Amino acid sequence: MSLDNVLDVSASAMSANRFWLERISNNMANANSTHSVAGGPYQREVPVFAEVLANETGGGGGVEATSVMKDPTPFPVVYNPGHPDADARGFVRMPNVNIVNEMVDMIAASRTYEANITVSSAAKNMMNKAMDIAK
Amino acid sequence: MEFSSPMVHALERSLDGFSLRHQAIAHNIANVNTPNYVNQNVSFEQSLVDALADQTAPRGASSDPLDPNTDLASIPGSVEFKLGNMRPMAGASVTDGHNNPLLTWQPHMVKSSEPAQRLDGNRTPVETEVSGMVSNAVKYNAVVAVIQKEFGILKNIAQAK
Repeated sequence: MSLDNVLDVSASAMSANRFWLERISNNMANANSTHSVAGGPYQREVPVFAEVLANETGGGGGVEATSVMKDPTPFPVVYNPGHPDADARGFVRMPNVNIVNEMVDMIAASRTYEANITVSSAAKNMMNKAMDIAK
Repeated sequence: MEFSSPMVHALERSLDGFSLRHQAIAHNIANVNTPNYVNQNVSFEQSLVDALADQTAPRGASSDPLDPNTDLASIPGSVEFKLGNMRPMAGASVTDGHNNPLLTWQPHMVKSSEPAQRLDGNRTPVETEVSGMVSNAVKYNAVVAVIQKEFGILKNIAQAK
């Protein structure tokens, strides 16, 4: 048993939160994209986090972003007859990305990232302290 | 001569417990955004005290802490280190491992039974986890300091200072 596992756990959480931050930046970048690969406006992407089990009996393995879901919120419809994607009545379906929500998520992702850095640096200090026994 | 005292072995086991608790806290903080996550706790102190009580009990005596004939520390939750009663940990005791509760003792993670406080069903109170992490690290360092002192004493004896 050692503190090495703690570093793996925190590292998994840091990479999961970096992945979330990537999705957030993708959402913000596409906040005005009315075209997407799937057709229609860009749909907001949300990562799904799941606990990782260290072994078959219990937890302790960290976290993993298992998949990316599309936000099912309906697209806001904006009246903009000059837009090339406007329908016959002049309405455009915009992406369901709310910049303010994304900013709040961004703060959550970066704070969680920081919290995990704190945990791994505490583990590092404990390991260094244990090394002092040999002094 | 046995070089390291049974107390050092007991302290080493408690370091195992603190390490596992730190891992549980890291796991809880890692899963702070996981929906329906149930946080894990490690409470090893009582089971370690029990294992120590079993270990310090004289051979052949009852290991039941409720038995008045059992030679245990009279205060519940505390263990008196009687070196005479301590079974040797090294050498012979390795083959004797099944009878020595301290050698087979392991801390465990348990899922919390607290109800979910958040809408996403997550049960991790981040503030509690962080303060638990800090106090866990302090206790870990304290145990390390005690082990250091113990070895310092042995070093002084070895150097006949």
